[in-house]
Amino acid sequence: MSRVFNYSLDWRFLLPSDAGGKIRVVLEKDDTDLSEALERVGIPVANQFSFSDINQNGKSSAESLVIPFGLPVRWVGAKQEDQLESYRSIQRLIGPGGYLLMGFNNSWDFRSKTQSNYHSSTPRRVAYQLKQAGFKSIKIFGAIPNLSIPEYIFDLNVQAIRFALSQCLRRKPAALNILQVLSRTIGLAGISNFLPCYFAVAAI
Amino acid sequence: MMTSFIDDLSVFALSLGERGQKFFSSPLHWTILSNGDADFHDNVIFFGFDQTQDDPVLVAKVPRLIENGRMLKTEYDHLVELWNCIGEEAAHYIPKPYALATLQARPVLMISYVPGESLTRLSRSSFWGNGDQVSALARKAARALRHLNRLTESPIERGESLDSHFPQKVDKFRELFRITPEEDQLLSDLVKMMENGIATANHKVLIQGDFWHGNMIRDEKHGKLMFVDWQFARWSADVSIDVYFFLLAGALSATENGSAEQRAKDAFCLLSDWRADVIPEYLSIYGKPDHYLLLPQKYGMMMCCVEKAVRSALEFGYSHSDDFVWRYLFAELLHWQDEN
Repeated sequence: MSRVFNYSLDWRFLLPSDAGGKIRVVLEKDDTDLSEALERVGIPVANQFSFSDINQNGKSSAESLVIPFGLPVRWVGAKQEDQLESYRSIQRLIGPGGYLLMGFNNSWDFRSKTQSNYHSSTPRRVAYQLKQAGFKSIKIFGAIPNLSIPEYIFDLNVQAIRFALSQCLRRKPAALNILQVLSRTIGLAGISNFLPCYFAVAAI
Repeated sequence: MMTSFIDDLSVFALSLGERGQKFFSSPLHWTILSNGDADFHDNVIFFGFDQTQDDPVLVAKVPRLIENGRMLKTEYDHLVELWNCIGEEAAHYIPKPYALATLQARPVLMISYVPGESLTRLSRSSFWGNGDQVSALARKAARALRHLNRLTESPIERGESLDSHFPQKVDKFRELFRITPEEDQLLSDLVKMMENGIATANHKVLIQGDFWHGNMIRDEKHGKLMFVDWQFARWSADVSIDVYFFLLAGALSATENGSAEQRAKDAFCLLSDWRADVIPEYLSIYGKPDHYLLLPQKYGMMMCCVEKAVRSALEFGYSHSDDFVWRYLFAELLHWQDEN
């Protein structure tokens, strides 16, 4: 029987293909399912490491670094300066020409009431912090409904947002009506601030 | 710096064209659909947008696992074959194949976007529980399928092999599942019936091979039903799999998330209910083919169950959880009363 994992790992397509095996993934806690899913797509255990290693690792030859669920609360403080310092440490781990890919939940997502293990944020704040930390060409993608198996990942472009949202809400007429009203009032660009989660891709 | 996969996808899409005319204008934006949730044997679908229209202008399919790229090749080859075979009328039924390429070592199939509503997630209760809606969809599917079959119908050449490898599929079914003597006998009868039926057929058609509502796009505006996902397509003198799979998949979609055995029982009950109207109407609209084979209901449906129960094992080398649903539905269908 083939395993169906709890993670789709489709964020891989936002990066260059991992032909050289140089994608490294930062895992916050032991998660056998995630670890095995990564191995199945060619990211070996040797390329998976804990967030606590970031500060000790210094320079690395990682072409791209992935933090699938955001900055972990356990290791990074909520203050702007703490987070900036983490991004600077992360930046030092990425080799020339490499990328950082980070997923994060939206601070404005009112659905989630439970305490998360990861800091939520907003697209604007993450883009600002990454820029301050020295990253260049920062691009943010919307993701619905969650970071583990996002059904849709899309450019924050009006057509792409409209398509993804209308497909998701196709069989929910009330929600679709609300979306139409909101797109007329605050615009789709405004709606993009209220998506449940995002992926940021930043180049060195 | 290495470019990202979607950047390379954009560059390749912008290079596509015909007679010196480019298909798309820059820049392209993408929406990625995680098809099949997290099933690594499924494809990821990229919808590409340019600045000229609200709908996507193209679709790119990329397998999650590189080794499954051969399925895209089959799909591309059959789409090209269909377009060559039926010409511009193909645009009413199937996407247009643009290119099969390899980008960053990944196989990529680029096809036109089919506008409309994917029927994958038709509601269990509000759709499949409503006989009128099911009948309306069945009528439309039967009409479109028969028309498409007529368009591809062509004589079987002398010495041409149209092997569906059904005996091998039956062997795999026997190997994977514990079967009763009665089932074993029926499997042998089924193989013989297919051999005899195909021996008398003198025409072939290009069957879709995965003809269920999840591979249909309904365009209400133009009253069209279009068919996507041709990776299991093949030339065949027997259309039973396409004709009956639509009914079986619909009945299974209506079942609750119970055990495989219970789902099969529930689907069988619903199929039995559909014998009053949905099935006779569907089969009557499809009609009786003169030159190729359509098995009787019981045997056609059982043949579908065998094919579906062993497909993952034969194509991908693994067992899917739904394989057991098909196996149990096969057992239920032993009780199907022959229409004659």
